[in-house]
Amino acid sequence: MDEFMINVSNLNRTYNLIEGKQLVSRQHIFRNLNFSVKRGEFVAVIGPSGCGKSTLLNIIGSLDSIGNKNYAKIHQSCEKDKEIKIPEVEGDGAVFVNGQDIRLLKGANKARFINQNIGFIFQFHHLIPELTAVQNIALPMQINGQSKKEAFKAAMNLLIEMDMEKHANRKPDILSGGEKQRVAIARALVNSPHILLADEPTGSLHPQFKKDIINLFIRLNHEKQITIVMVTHDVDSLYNEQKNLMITSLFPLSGSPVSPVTGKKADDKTFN
Amino acid sequence: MLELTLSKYLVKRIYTFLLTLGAIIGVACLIIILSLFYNYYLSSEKVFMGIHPHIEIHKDMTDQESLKVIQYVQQQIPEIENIQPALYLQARAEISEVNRTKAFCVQHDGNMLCHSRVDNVNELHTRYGFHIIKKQTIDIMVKGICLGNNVPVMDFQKLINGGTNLNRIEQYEDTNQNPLPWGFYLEQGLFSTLSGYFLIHFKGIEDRKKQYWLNGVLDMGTKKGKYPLMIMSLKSARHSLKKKDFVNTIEIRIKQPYNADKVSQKIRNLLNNKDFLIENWINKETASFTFLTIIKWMIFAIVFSISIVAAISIFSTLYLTVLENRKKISILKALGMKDSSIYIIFLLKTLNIGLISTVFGCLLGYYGSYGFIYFFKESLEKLGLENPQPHISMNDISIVAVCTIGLFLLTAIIPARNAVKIDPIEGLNQ
Repeated sequence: MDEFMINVSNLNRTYNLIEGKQLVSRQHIFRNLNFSVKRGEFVAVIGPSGCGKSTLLNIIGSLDSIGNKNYAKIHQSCEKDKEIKIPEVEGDGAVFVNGQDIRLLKGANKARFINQNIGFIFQFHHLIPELTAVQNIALPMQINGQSKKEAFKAAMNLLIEMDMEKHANRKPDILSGGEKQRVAIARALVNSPHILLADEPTGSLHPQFKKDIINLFIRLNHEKQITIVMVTHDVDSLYNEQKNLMITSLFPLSGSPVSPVTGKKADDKTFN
Repeated sequence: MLELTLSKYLVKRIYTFLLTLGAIIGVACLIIILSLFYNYYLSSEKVFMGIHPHIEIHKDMTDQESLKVIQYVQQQIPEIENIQPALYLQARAEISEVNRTKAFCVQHDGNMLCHSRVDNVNELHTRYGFHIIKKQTIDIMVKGICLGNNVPVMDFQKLINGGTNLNRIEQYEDTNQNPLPWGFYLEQGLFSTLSGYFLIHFKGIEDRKKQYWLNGVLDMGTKKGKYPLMIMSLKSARHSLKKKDFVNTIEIRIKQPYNADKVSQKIRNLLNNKDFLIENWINKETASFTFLTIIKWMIFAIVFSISIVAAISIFSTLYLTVLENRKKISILKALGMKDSSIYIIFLLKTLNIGLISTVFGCLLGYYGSYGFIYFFKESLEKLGLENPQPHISMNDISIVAVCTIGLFLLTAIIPARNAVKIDPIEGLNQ
């Protein structure tokens, strides 16, 4: 288990679409999904839209829970006066991140784990607009309890590394898309996390900047041995001119068709 | 502190400013009310201590008996500053305000009286006529008192409008040994004059009117007893009420008026006799003090509604802030911020508003009291506040601060809870 930084086993997720207290359809996103990433690997998760790539990343990053949630009442199909509660989101499975079973993480422990182990990079940067670049980058360290001085020092070092030190005291609204994404990457790195989870980091960027960002990730993976899991549509950018894959591997997710529910008896046995 | 930094960006500055301003006004109003009420308290205390000795011992006694008690108690209790015998009696009297004029007196009608003065050496008859201006027949409380070193036990000098030469009530002759009308003080409001000649006839005790001199009136403010108060010397009272060699009260003044309860208990233990009834000014006016306290806190509660309005504004602003900042809160959660830190951000915001409003509200309230008193001085004096001054105690500030800050902190709880419950994925996809 320890050689794997991320180990997903038998992960299931199903979305139950409920309309007017009737179960209309079920969409199986994952069926017994197994996925593992070794330390220092760089894996790209690819697949069509709606196949669950971001969902997988959110689950690994502990932003989304594995089990059932969002319970709603529906009528039992044969006995309309009787109601039962079913989850709109069904799920189960096991996910281990850096040896930790994330199902066991709750409250402050979960927050601490996310802060210290995971760096998340989003498609749309998600920087806090009122804070400057250096303040945004320093945020995870300050959340971790480090002093403002130490956090700012680390943030500045990262900005220098990314050749962005002149933007330190600028707010995100005057930075370009690529610069914002670099700030977001620096923010994700400031706490020296074991894992970087990037959800379509180049999705909102100009093609000119996409390659830069991908190269940055590759450099980080090689130099700092950070385990990276990246969701991307842009598979071509992962290959070099010699058509060789620049990262460790690709993990394809297949599509998940919606299956309508017709005449199916909805009862407790299905959902417990 | 990170939470403090983030709390600054929680609400737009203009809203923070307006909310704080509303809170400052609320605190200032509370401080003004408490400051003015303190004056009312002081005025009332002044009246209470003016019309009651600090401690009274009641028992029907002769002069000698009272002297024995006085000597005994004074020896045993060093806290006593002044102790004198007195006579307290309720009587019905016909009191007439008169103009005195020299006259050859033949009584033609019931409204003309004559006063004869006879010199000891010669028979000298001077007749005075009394033209009655106003007459009233009322029940009054007569207090016949002694002045110890020209100072009464009751501190009623502060209540006097008119002659403050208290010795006049114990002057029975002038320098030529001619008899003087006996001096007395009467509660203000019965007659319009502050001094002058009066004729008093104690019904059922005497069969004729006697001449007295009103030395001054007693301004009781809003504190009026069951019967109007008349103060004269013990000798005058005994003579007028036909109570020769009779004392029914011993008046005591102590150095620390607020220790009256303790000293009363000491006296009770000393005298150890059920015939003695021992009262102190605090007991007598407990109901009044309680009433004042209740009124004070009722007014406080009413004025506190301004702060409640400010708190409701803060609550609704924070509630909307959570909705507007779902994305930011989700970002913080995605970066690993704890739920408790998110709570702290909201609490710090309201604490900040509470602290600033308390400090500036107290300052505004204190100086506002000056302004209030300056513009409404006459009206306040009519309410019984004599020479009002702004006054704030640390106790008042503490109560206002605790109530205001506590209220504001409460307003942060629900919005903070809503912020903590935000699903980061939903928030980020907003």
